[in-house]
Amino acid sequence: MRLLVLLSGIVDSKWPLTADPAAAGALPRKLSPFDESALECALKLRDADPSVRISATVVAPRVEETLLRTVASHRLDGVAGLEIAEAMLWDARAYSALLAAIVTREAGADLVLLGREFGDGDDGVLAPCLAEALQWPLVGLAQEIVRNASGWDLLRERGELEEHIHLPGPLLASVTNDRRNRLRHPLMKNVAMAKKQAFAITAADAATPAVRLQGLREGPVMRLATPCRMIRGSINEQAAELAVLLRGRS
Amino acid sequence: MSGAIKAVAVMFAEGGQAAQPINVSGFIHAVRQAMAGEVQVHALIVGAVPAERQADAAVKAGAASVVLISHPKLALPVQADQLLAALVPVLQAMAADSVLLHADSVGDELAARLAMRMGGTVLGRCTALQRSATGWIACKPAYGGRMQAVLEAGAGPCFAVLHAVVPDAVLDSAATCATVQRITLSSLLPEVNHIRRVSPASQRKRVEGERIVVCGGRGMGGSEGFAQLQALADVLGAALGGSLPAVDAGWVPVSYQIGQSGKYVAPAIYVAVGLSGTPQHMAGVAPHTDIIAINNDEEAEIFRAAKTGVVADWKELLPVLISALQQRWSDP
Repeated sequence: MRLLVLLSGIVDSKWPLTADPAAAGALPRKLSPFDESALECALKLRDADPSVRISATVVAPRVEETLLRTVASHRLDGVAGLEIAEAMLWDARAYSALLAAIVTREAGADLVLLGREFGDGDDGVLAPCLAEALQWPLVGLAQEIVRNASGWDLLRERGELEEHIHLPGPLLASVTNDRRNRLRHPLMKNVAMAKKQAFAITAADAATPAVRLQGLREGPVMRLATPCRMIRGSINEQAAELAVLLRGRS
Repeated sequence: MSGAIKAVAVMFAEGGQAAQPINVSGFIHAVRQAMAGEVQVHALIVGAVPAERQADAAVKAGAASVVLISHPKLALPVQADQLLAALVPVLQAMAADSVLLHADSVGDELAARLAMRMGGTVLGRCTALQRSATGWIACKPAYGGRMQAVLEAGAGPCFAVLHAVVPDAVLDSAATCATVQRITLSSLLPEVNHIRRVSPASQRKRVEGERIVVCGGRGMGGSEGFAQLQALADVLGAALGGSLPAVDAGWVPVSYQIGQSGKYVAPAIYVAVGLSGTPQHMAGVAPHTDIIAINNDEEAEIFRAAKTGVVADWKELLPVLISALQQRWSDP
């Protein structure tokens, strides 16, 4: 059984961003919580069945070996990087076509996993676009995936309900963060092996996106015009004043 | 491009147990607010049965027209595969310039897949959308809410999702005489019998639609902290939420998650405990919400967004606060 994990990483929040898109695209990246969840789901499937083969492709404007080593330290069967033009990030149709080409190249993948948000676009459009491009079924926001004799069992929460979904492969699943899929720490021997590993980083063919980035500007910062009114005093005084305030507004 | 923009606001009539019924008037107003220029908002409301109450709300909110779609085979909670099959022919007939859906898990998926099937432009979660000389200009958050991306797209129909952030109270005054067209579909829909739904043993208030939300972050330190927060939520009649790190740590389920990657909430009061107030988290809280922040770090970013703040260790404050609230409620 073959699994493909598509990863993008996000710009590490410790790096300041500017309005220059090229500069933003060149900043160091780390795995997002959703990348990590997708990777952990794949690792759990391999825990359950050692014959599972996992490959991962990191797709980003700049793919650093450090990030590839982080992924490879989980002893995957293949880790590769694909660098794309920064302009591709904003055109979900073109970007998903590129991801579909990766899946097609990895012929025979039974399950393709990616995080619910892929990259720095702050939304979950790429997984549904990829499902449409591949004409594959999609399970969005999966939290747990188990293989059984006739296909895949996936769990997700929707409001007050849990949905248990059974589908045959091939299947695309976007994975959300959950206590069940928090990425494990790699074994030190695998970290050491990953340090010696060589990775293929290729460049995607240039394409003209139909959605273009006109510019970046600083995001809205939720700040009030008037300073926060601080409730001071002893714990008892703070609690009493807060209780009056909350009771008055309840 | 000239003339009024024909925007179709797609809404699901029934949420079932897994989705809040949509705030029809709030969403129509959100579409108007997000789209600059002259806009005609047409409401497309879909459900298993005709949703007359929601149609009435759409008329009162000033929709240019209302199309009420029903299909008896639509499953609850709504599933994107079924909605996709039901909506594509209807939307094709409506020939909209733009199609807007509510930002949640189904809306996000459906907008993207509709765009792909109908040859439209996928814009994702937007905060603003306007027509330009050559097509569209859209604004959307990026880089974890730290930046806004301004995008240009061609002239074809665009598909986007928006948050409904407008409280009901300011609406309902723009009543028009919009016509309501009722369409009962009988087309074949994809089966959803591969999905089994289970209600968890404990029921709780949903974070969406509540007047008060109590939310905890990494500073709560563990499940025990969230038990205290649940006690506070119970005494306030509030819903309990958590930040992404709290969900990651397994202290609360993912359906409690508030923020850019979780639920978007617009309560009157948001009690934020042990939360630093990152842009990613604050992206999930409506701007009009009054935030009461409790944090032991006076420099925490949350105090810049909060109307009221308490610098205290929650372990000391919460038991006393809960007791004070219980006392006050029991007072005559």
